[in-house]
Amino acid sequence: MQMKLKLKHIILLSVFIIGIAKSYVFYIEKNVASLKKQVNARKKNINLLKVEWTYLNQNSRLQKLAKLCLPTWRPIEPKQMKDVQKIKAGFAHVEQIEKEERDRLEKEERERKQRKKYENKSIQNAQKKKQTLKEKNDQKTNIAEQKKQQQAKVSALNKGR
Amino acid sequence: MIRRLIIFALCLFLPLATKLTSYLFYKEVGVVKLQTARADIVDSTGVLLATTIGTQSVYIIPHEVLEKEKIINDLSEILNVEREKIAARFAVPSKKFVWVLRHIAPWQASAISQLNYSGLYVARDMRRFYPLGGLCVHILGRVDDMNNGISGVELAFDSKLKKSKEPLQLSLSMPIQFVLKDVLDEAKKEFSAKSGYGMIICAKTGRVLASYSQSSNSDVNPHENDQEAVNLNTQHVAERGSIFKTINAAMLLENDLVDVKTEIFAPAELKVGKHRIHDVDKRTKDCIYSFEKAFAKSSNIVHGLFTIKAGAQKQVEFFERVGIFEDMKIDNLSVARGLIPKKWSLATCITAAYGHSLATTNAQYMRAMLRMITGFESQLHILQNYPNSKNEQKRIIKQSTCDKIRYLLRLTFSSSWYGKQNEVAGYEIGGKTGTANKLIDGKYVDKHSVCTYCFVFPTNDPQIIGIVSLDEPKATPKTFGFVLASFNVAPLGAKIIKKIGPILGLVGK
Repeated sequence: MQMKLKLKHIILLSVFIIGIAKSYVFYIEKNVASLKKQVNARKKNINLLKVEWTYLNQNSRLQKLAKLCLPTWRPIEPKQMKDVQKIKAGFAHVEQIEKEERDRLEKEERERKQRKKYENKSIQNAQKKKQTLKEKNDQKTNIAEQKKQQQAKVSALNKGR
Repeated sequence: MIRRLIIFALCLFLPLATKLTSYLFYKEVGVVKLQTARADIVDSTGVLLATTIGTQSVYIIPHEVLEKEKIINDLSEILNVEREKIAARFAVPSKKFVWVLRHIAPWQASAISQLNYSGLYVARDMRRFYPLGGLCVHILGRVDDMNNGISGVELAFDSKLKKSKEPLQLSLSMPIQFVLKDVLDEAKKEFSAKSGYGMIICAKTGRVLASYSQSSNSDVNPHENDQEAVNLNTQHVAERGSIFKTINAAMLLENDLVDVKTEIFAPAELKVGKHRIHDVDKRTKDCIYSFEKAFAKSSNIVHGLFTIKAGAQKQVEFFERVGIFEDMKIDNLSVARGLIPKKWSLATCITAAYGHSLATTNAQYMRAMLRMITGFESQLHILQNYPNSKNEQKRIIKQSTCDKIRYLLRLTFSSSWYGKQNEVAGYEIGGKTGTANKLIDGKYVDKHSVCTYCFVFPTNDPQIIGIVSLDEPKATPKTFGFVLASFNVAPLGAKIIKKIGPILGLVGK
């Protein structure tokens, strides 16, 4: 009796589980369908935007706009097309001028720095002189004081004797 | 026992029931697939040339219509169409379904659906749309109301477009196409020609970079099927004139009959049977020409004389090799068949040398030109990813001949009047002009001609081959009253190259 009951239960349970799984699948499929719809709508919109993009980027329209808005600009001419190496060679004299100017600027800066250094040095020297003088004075006074102290100590010691 | 049976029945039934319900669910929601009735067409850089967009259309079901007059009045007001036109649509009671107007604006559709008359409906519709307008109608072609291709690329690749979702990539390049259109439209207006057409191909691969033809006065609207848009590059069969001298010269050079410097005595007039052949400059004195000078001066007589030496057999054989007699297709895009004389007599031999008595399309001539420049049995291609074939690596013309042809073309340009006028600094342009009077009622009529110019650029290492044609250009003060290709179409070549060179990034010497 117990065995038979178990079989019944297993079958019932499995059916139940299958049912639940199926319903869950329906739910997901429904979601997928609605998402696909949305994707389609988006795709259509993107397509329309692409069409608009190409329509607005028509060469004829761009040419008209360029004539209107950039009256001083002109299309590139064959003259302007050059190899990169050739451009380098062509700009050699420009480079030289630049180099000269750079050198000149560097020179000026160096001079300025030197001048500054010199000025600084002179100031420093003056300060140093002052300091040394002060120090000398200080030393002198110090020495005098020390002597005095020593003399006082000596005198004190002498008195003690 | 009964209980067990019931449980058993339930076990069987439940999975079935779930399947049934799933079927119902599917019917209700339905997994919508994106309706791509036709794949897009894009150019080599990915610019959208043709696409399918969703639109709306109005239709009626005649036996359901009750208030006919009211509907007609409202529709003519909303759609801004004359009353009679709409009334004509209503006058077919035997039909079950009638389109009133297709592809209406969204606001019109919403207004009509708000009217709520019986028998009047708005439906979703699909439409082929060309965002660039009339720029490439001639090569793209058109579709009919049912989205089937009826001409051009749309017809040639119809099944491919219907099957695949991936866009079809053509080898066209829009900036170049626009330059060609600009130059041709201007020239057509200037010389008040019947039509102007031309194409530009890549000299390395044979890909068509641009192809334009204009036969009406204004731009063609690709969305109106009643306007004519023929691709004259592939459809206009005409005698091409002196540009065939390039092919003939290649024939002579290939067979080692002449060298570039070979000299020949050229009489003022050549008699062949009934025909009398003159040169373009109409000189009256006999003189001695070298071959290169004769080519540059486009002397009919010298070419005729040399061709007599060569004989018809060699000429026919070379023309065959270059593909003049062969039917051709540009990757499935149809090209009209040329007109070739059945008998190849001495007279046809001489006239064919300077491009008369046989008529071809521009596309066919371009293929011959491509083969002469590359030396291989190459084909023209319209697809960016064209199927490779082994034939295209088969050498059919000697390298030395190709070099000589390039030299001759360059010499022709640099020594000519138009060449000196239009020389672009640093760019080595080569080309050959061709003027052919038209046959009208069995007679060659003066000043009714097809003027063609074929140019190669740059001649030391060809990248581009181009051809421009004007059909029946008129004489103007600028051309000194002549209708000659060297005066009207030849300057166009230099003009195009001046604009295209920088776009392609070609560096001059």
